[in-house]
Amino acid sequence: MYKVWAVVKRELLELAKRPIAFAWTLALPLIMIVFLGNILNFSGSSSGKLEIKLPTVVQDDGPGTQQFLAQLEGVNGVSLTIEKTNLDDAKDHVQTKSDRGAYLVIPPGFSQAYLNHQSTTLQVVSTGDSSSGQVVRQILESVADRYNTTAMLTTAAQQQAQQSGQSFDQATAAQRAQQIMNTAQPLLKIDAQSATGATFNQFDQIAPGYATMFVIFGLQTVVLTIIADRTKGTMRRLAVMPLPRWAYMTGKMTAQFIISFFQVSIMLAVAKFFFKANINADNFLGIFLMVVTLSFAATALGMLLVSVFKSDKAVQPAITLVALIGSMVGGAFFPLWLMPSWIQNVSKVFINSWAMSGFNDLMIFKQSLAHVLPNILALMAYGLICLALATRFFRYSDA
Amino acid sequence: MSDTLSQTVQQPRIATTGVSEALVQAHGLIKKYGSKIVVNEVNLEVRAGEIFGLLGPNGAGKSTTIGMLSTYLQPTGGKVTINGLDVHKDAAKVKKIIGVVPQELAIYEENTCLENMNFFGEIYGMPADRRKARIEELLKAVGLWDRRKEQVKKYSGGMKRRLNVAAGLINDPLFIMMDEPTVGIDPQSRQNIFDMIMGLRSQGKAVLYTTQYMEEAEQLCDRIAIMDNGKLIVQGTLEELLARAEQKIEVEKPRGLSQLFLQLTGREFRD
Repeated sequence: MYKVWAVVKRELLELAKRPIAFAWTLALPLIMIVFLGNILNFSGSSSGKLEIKLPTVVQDDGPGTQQFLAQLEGVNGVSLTIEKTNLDDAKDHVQTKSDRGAYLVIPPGFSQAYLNHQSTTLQVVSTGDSSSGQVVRQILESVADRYNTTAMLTTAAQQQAQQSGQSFDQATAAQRAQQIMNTAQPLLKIDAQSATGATFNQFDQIAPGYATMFVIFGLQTVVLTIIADRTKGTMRRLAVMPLPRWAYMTGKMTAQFIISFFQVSIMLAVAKFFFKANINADNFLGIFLMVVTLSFAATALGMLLVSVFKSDKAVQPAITLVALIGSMVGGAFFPLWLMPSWIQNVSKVFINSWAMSGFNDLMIFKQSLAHVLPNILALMAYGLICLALATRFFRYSDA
Repeated sequence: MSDTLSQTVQQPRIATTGVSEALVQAHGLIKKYGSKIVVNEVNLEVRAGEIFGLLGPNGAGKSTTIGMLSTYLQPTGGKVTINGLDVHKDAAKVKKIIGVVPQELAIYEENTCLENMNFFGEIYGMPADRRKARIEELLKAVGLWDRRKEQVKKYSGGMKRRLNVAAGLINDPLFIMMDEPTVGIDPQSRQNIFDMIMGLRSQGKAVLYTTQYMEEAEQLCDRIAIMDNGKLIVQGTLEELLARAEQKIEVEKPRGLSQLFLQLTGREFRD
């Protein structure tokens, strides 16, 4: 292992000789994060507003239903569009085409029950892994909570009136309760792009997005030293020294891993401490594991690229292409869940997609570590596959 | 220059023929790429305390031969042993006793001279104290000790060449292969490298030296082989080669190695 460490140390020493170049690889993404984060201020811009279409099977189109649907569409920070449809069509969207995250069924008798504060049940069907489905569920729960509170206030007022022998007009009381609800500080906030009440911050999307993109651009750091080893003869020199191929590759990979890990960590740390990105004790372990596996997968991808492409003229465009396309379809520029489903499917061939959906789930949708385990495992598998292929194709000597 | 190396510089050449056993033996060495034969049935021996010159025009197969002797290339046929070890079956052991000075400046220009030497020393697993002493000895020998903390990219061409040589000797190898180590350098640096090489011979090391400069081979080499189109055409001491050429009445008597080389390999360009 001391030979591996010798390779790592030399790489890092070389990097330390180019502090400006290294600083620039960190500064550029940070500048972009800050710049774009302020341009794409999601809370005030339609471009950043979460847009969700909700197929709705309306089996009772009375005034109560109209009121309820208007409430749903009026939730702050989320652009929710009700698409009235039949049950088959709704199922087709959610279960077959997967272009909608959830559908809602409004049962017969809902309108009357809603207006009279009587018990009724709404059915919402979503796919388990859909982010927009989760948002829809959360919105419905929050609107239901609000409605329930209004109803309780009305009932309390009615009981109070009855006890004191005063006359009571339920419609007026409900209207009054609604007014109170509207002016009171809501107990459960629905903020932009978050249905759980936590404050959504555009840096929760942009910081991991650009970190993921630049970690792939950053692969050039070690990839180019491998190309230089090839072209300048140092690889040949090392190959005739007692430095086995595995030690050379492991050393280079470890150096790149360290660089990538710090690159992503620094970007996320800046997003956290300067821009209040949602990284906290609850999601720290998940984010840490995402950063580790992302760095590993990216590093292995770099090793694969440098195994297949032999010169800097070939490998640099390859890295740029992978970084840009992966970022575009993988959720670095635009939230992944806003993309058409076919792009979401295609994007799974890129690291960015697995990383971004994991970061989104942890930072935006407040999901647990268990929820993003598939992403972590996918990044591990991605890295291992790239590494296996790199090991197959990497040429160290002809012996 | 260190004491060990400087004391030996001016010593006369060891008379090699029949004196010591061959440290390096290559028999029937062949290298093919597809149907193209790059090295064809090469037999050679390099003895301890000998500088063996391997000459040839561009594309003659010199670097490929060195590649096979140094474990870098797998021969298509034939066998090479170094100090009794099969170069390809015992490659890991062989790598510890050989040193290669490649034609390219195979050093890290962003790193300092000292970082380069330390790195190569670490690859050989040299303990820190031994590595430190060896680096000091070598860098003093090549005149870079005082500038060891400078980045290599700030060095002149001659300094880089000298570092390239020193890096190839870090492990104190028994057999050193030098592939045109003096290309494009100033006379002082060239002389320094010559001194190093002659010092190695005096220490009983075996040196395989390739060069395009005939006067270098005349000055340095105990025995010389001329290679062309993948084959060894002749080998022996300079005197033997010239005497052999004289006996051939159909050719003009060569006045030196350069003329002999042209007679044997022709005057056509090989680039």
